[in-house]
Amino acid sequence: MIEKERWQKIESIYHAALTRDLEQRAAYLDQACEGDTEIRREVDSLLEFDDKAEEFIKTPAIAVAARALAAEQSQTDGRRHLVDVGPYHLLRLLGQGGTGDVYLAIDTRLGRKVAIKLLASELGNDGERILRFKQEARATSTLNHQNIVTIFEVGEFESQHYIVTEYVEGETLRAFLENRSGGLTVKEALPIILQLVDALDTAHRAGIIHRDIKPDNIIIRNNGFVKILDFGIAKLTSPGHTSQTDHLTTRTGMVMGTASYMSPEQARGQKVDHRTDIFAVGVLLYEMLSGCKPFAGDTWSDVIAALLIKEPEPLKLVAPHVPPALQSIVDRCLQKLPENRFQSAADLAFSLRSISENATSSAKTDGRRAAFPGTKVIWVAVVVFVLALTTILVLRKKPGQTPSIVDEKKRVAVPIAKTRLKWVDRSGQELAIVGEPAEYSGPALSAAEDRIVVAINDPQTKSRDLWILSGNSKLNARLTSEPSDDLNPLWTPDNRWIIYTSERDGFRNIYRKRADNSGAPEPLLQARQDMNLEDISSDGRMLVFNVRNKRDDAPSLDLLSLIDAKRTPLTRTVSRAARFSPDGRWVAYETTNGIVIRSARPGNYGLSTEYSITKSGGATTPMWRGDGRELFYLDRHTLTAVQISVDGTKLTVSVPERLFTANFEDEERRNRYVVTKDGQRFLVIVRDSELADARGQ
Amino acid sequence: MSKRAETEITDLLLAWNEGEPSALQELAPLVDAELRRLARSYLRRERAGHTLQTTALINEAYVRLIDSRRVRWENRAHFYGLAARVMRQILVDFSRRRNYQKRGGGLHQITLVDAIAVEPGNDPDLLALDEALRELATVDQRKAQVVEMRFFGGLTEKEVALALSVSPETARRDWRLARTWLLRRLSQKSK
Repeated sequence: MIEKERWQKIESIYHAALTRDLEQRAAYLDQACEGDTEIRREVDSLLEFDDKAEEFIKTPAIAVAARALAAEQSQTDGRRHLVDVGPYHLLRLLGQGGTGDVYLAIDTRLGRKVAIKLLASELGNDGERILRFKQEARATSTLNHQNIVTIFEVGEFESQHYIVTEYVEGETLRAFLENRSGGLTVKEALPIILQLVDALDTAHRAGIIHRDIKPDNIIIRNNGFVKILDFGIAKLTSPGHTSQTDHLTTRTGMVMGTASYMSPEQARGQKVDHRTDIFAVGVLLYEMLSGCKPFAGDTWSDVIAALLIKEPEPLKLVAPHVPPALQSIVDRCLQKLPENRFQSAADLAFSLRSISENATSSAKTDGRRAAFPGTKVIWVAVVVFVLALTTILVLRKKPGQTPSIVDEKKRVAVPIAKTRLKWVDRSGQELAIVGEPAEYSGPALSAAEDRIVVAINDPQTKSRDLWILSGNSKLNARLTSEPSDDLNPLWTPDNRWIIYTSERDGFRNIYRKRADNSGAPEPLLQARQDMNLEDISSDGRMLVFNVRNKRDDAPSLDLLSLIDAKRTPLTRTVSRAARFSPDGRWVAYETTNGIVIRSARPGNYGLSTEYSITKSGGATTPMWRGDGRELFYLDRHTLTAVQISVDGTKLTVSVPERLFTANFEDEERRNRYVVTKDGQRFLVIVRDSELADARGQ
Repeated sequence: MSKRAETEITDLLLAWNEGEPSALQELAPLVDAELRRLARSYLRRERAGHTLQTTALINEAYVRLIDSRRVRWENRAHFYGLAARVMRQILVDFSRRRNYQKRGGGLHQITLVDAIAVEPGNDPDLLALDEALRELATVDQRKAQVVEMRFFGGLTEKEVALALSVSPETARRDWRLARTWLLRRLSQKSK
């Protein structure tokens, strides 16, 4: 049989076999192959692969190539993995929602921070809906109300529709409520709701309905000022255009979340007007005051059923602190029929203001009410509320003091302090104590050496946060307060930023935050692998950090250029606690064989030469003097110094000088001290007992 | 991509068909641009944890590259085959270049950063597949063409049937056996 005929026979047996059940296949093949074992073997082997081939090359080649390209790009550039959208350089993801993802971005033309929402692609494919949305966005952009987030641009880039808005720093009302389970007081809730209702009034007068008022769309800035997001965006997902079941199957979570704030007419897919927003305000008020939603259920349909049929649990039962007048306002907002609700946001605002007036006057008995009749009182009241709210926020976010050793509620001293932060001289003599006893780690000095940034373990959250301590005064500021660890802080040489290691992504990644405490943390280097920041070069261009080898979890060192985001390995062997020499040419670090130094420019010297500074292991935590001529390290608990001179590639190291021994933290803790540029003073973290006075021990 | 560029591609394909070899060199950057556009949307969407609307995006790319509506009906069959062949050549060249760059990338092949949710996963290696496809062509020319049209050219079963003047059923059977054959070939190689 010639080759071609054999192949045709194989092919026809193969297809015929596929039409038969597995049990009958063997019998069929026996018969069809007529004893030709070669053909039988070939067909068998093909059939074996038939199942697995179902998914094979199903995705067209261009997508395969694009995916490989995408994986490659994101791999080679850990820092700038986010892609630019037109003139907008994406910085990080701020949030995800049903209509798309919101990123913090820089408008590269103006250099200003903006928020950019990239519309989900399934919405972007519906031309008519996009058009309607654009019209509405354009209308919204003309609103110009202080409580409505300004829309800068609605555009399209490479088939990606996007909306650019003002970037508002603050927390969502959702986050605010989650931190305050059990509901807000009337005084806390009213200023927020009044700002919201004022903004809605302006929008409604311009014929614009929000349609999706919910806690996620309301941002509260640190000063208590409220901003409303996503005006009219709900139009994109509003039922009626696409079938609701469609949404249910594709984005269950999204619809579930929104269902709780829908009005009955909205849930039915009927035409809605501005009174749908009034209903949502009622839901919001109810939730803010009671801490629970008026219409709840385990599933989306349960929520909808409750919304359409049931009356909510009376507010006086779930939130007895709410005055009856406010209860009836909430009730009226929550009426099933739009005509039974407040007919305008202005009416609602008016009623709310009279409550807020009463709430203050009953709380205050100084008789000032008589002095400021009419609307003025109302505004004073609002200002008072806003101030009160601000204070609450400030107290919650920035206690302005090191963690107290006294539990506020019980007024019982809790012994949590483990270490002290002290200034000592070259002989170990104590010069000053900084701050309260606490669990300190990783101190770093500002360029002028007048401020300290240090990680302090918060005994309540059991995670480290960063604090800035001003010299030895008590003027302290908390820089981070995430529930995850923030550690290894450093000042950038210009003193403007604190860069640090943060575990907020689940892995230890490298972040930065402004040293003046403004702005949110920004990622510098993110990976799905633990990385610990070690040092920044004195020209601010280079970082050195350690990474954990996935195989054996051993740390090795990498460099990251902050100029072009290029990442280069510095060591391959176990190494950590790296410090750049002041001229940036060398890196000193800890290995299992003691302290070594190596060129910080691997391109010039390769990975070859490590110069040993100490003779054996056990030495940790190298630190340079400001002129690079002296290197300090810990030999067990003894602070030791060596003089170093480098002549070309020739390196001379003096005999070690033992300066002092102290009650340093155990060796697995890194960064237990830091030294001033002149090499005369050391800021040390010691266990909370007296420094051992033991020069040369 | 602009309207101009779309028509340009079809024109270039037709020019190449009429014996204008330089047309291919002009085509490559256009395919490259589509690739990058796709890659960007992968990055954007996958990072945000979205399942990708793969089919829609890819179809869009192919429609942009291969606009058969501009080709007269009787020439379509020929045009499909042509477009698929061009796409194969460009995409395989593209993979070859990238492989070369990766190997020549020198000192620090970056193995440490794996910052990313985009993973090629079980995608086949285009170079290996191209080679296996050549082998398949020596056994069964038509099946290799079917794969070229469907996988590289992004054509549908119907379009393939039209281009090869076979029944859709035959096109479907060819596709099934060809995929099995290729997967087996690649599995044998990787052992």
